Amino acid sequence: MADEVDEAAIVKDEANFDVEDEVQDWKFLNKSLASSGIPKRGEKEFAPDGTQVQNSSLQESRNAMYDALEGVRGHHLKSKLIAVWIASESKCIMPHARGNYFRDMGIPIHIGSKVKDGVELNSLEAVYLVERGSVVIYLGNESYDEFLKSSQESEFDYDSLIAMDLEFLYSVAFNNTGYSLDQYQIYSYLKRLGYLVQDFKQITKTDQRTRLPMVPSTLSVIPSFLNKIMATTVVKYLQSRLRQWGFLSYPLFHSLHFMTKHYFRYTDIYKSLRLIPAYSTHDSVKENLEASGYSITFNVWKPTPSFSKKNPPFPDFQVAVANTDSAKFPTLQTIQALHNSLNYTFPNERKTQVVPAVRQQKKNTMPPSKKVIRQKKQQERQSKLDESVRKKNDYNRKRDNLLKYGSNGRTVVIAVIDSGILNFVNLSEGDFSLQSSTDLEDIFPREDHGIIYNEK
Amino acid sequence: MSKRNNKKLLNQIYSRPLPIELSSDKYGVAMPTLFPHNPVSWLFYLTRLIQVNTLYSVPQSSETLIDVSYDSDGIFKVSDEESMAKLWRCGFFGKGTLSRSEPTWKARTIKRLNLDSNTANALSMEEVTNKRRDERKKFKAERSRLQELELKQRKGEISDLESSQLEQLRETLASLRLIDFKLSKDSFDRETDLRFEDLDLIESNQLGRNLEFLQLQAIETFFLKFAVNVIRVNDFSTKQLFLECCRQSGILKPTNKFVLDYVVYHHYRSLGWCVRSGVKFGCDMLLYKRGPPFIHAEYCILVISNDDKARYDWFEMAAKARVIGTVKKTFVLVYVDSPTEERFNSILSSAYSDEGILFQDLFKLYKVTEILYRRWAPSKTRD
Amino acid sequence: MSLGEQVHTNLVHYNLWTGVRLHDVDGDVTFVSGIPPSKLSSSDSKNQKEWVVPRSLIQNSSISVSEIANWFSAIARLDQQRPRRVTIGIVNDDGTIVYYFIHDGVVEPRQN
Repeated sequence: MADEVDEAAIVKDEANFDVEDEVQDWKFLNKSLASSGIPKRGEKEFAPDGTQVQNSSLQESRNAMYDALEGVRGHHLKSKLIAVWIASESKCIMPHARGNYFRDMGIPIHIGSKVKDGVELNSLEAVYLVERGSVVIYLGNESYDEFLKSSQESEFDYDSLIAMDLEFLYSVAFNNTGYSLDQYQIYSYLKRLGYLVQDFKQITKTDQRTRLPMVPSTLSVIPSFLNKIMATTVVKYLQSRLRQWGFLSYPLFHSLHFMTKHYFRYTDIYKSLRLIPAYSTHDSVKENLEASGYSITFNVWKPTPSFSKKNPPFPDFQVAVANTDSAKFPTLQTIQALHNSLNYTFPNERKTQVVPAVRQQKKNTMPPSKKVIRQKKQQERQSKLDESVRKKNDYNRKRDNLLKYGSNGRTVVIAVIDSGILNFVNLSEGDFSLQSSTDLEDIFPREDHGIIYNEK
Repeated sequence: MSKRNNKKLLNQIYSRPLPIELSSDKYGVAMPTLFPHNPVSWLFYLTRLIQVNTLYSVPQSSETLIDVSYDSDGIFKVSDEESMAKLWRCGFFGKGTLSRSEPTWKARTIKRLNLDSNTANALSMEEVTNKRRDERKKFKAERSRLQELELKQRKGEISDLESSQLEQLRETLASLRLIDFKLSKDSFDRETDLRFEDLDLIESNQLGRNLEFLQLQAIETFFLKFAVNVIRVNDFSTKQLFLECCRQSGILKPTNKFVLDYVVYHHYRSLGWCVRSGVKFGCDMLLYKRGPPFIHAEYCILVISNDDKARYDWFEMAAKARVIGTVKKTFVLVYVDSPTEERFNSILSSAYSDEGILFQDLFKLYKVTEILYRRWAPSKTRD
Repeated sequence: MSLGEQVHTNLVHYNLWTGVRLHDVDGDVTFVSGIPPSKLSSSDSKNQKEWVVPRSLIQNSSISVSEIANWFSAIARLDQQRPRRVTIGIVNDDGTIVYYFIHDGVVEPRQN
């Protein structure tokens, strides 16, 4: 019991630690520089102690940063990539696209006989590639336009064009191109972490509203004529007599209800207390909602070797971008409208859907992680249990997950920017009533999955 | 006490999740199972139902209402010790004003002042917390000693003896960080210093009076009156109580903070959750599966009116989410749709033969929507 | 029970402070002073008299800087010396009182 009472106790573990909350220590880039005296994280020095040790450690880090920045950046001449910014159309053309970058980037283009393996890059992709030193972008001019149009010349002297530096590129790439610097900050951050990122688009042919499965109505089915009979004076008189004699209880929420009705389970009492209507899962799909000030900007996938630009799988994350200077926290209508515009499959569609190719598993040479060991142990423990207990545990675990992560999985990520500082927030559709959960229904059929109380 | 026995005891003490007694518990009668497609089971069920209704009176009909007093200070007070215990044990309603949650001040004080040699030596929650704090203090003292020695080492002023002390300290601290603090009864020294203030409490070597009362939140009070009808607040009718609760948090309107909070409170109570104040975590409510003695709260609830007027900004949300994340709870935004002023006022001013039905009609006009807010750390979900 | 009395009782019988007194200033603000069972912050040199300002979470949930400045000068008049810090006691409608320090100027942060 002692372990369970202190609500405010901060759990000692690493799960909450985010290395990105810390200031970059450049010494990690060059491990040989790091002396043994560096305080590791968690034991940061609290205040200046007046000794040289701290100062020299700080200086070491600074020097490591300068060293890292001084390193020569470049690429092999053979893998040099060239692109041209076409100012008249505010777009970027790369005549010969080679290398690994284009698994998720660029739209393939063909221009006459000249450009066969080329791509068109959007502003985000162009800036990203230049910033990481992989591409040189030139500013197109009339002679380049002519070169593209003409059918004769086969070589173009790119050195005759002006190479754009980053400052120049930034100034044109986010000016009336439909892309913003805010979007770029999110894009480049996710790309650098290794995610596959594309402009948001619908992967299914039709949107959610047209595919919403018919759900049987849960409205009361008492015919109205029965209601009329119940309302007649004779019946009312009979009711009141029966109540006086103690044979009939007062209706729900009447102040005498619990004094006149026998109950045998608390679950039934909770059912009697249900009163507040709640949005159940997929309710908002039926409504025509508008997202004011927000739209989904990116489809994002975890890195996978089998990714196809032409037929991308369903995205792992769908991201909207918000700047704290201009965007308020979204209203409920906006959140629901974003949920409605997500790439999303309904549970009934999932069963028939062809499962996308299984991710190729890299051969794992690492020792199993703590998580894996824990899962294995749990499985062993579970297998020793009685069937009914196992079923109950399974049910409870599934229900907890539905409560915690939302019962239908509709979730949108909002990437929030405050002067260059990024914060990502997941907003999912919750449903504590759990009125129509097939997952739970399969384990224990009952009408009240949302009632958390476990009857003795 | 072993963990299992402890749990058994807890289940016994807190066997009722609401202050309502089941007929099956009181009379030991059970209803037969009803199979919808088997008419015989219907007959069987019906016979038993008639039997129960004629032989036994409904348990709640003979329970006396719990007295809650309310005066100008705006506090809903329960002072009778038996009532305090009942409301706490049957659903964890209210908070002891001199305790962290369960009213234990009397027992604690008797122990602290050594007024009864027979009191059980189990530790109360407050004692456990104090114990933890002491441990943390000790840890900090050791750490500052370590930092002192490290400084000496850097300045080159350290002696051989201190050097070896430093090594030892490093080891102890490392192990202190690893071991979770375990509580043992013998390591616990009880405060026995008598204060001047305590003399007032003692009458002929006994605790004179119980200074503690159980304080109910407005939403708890209204639930106990309107939904389960087990309390009496002064001589207030349900409607008078409602108006008084609304007055405490502003003007009477459909989006009055009390009304919105109550709608959400009732929603979760009717789903069997134990709902308590979330003030310590910067949110409106906490949801517990059974109650504080059993398991930590798992959800933090923020009530938001769905009318686009009172909106939280990104910074407030981020701050709340951060606090909630560190204590491993899930952040739930609950948006409440409310009726128009006209509908609200027309129901409140209509004549009803029973006010319970009035409020049933009123709260049906509200609607709740749950949105789960979670921080995403892209660097951690890549693989 | 007034807000001040609630905090007073809580300090004496829950937090076990001694010598707790209520000070009404012009019927406007109430301060509570007293001595805790041990020093409140590890950086304090010794246990000392503390000043607490009771507030209600529901009735007035925002505080202005000028209000806080007035507390310091009001206590200075009461106590012949300006305190280094005051403690705000926020009373919630469930009876929970949470206490937070407000310092008179910048102080070195506490090592957690």
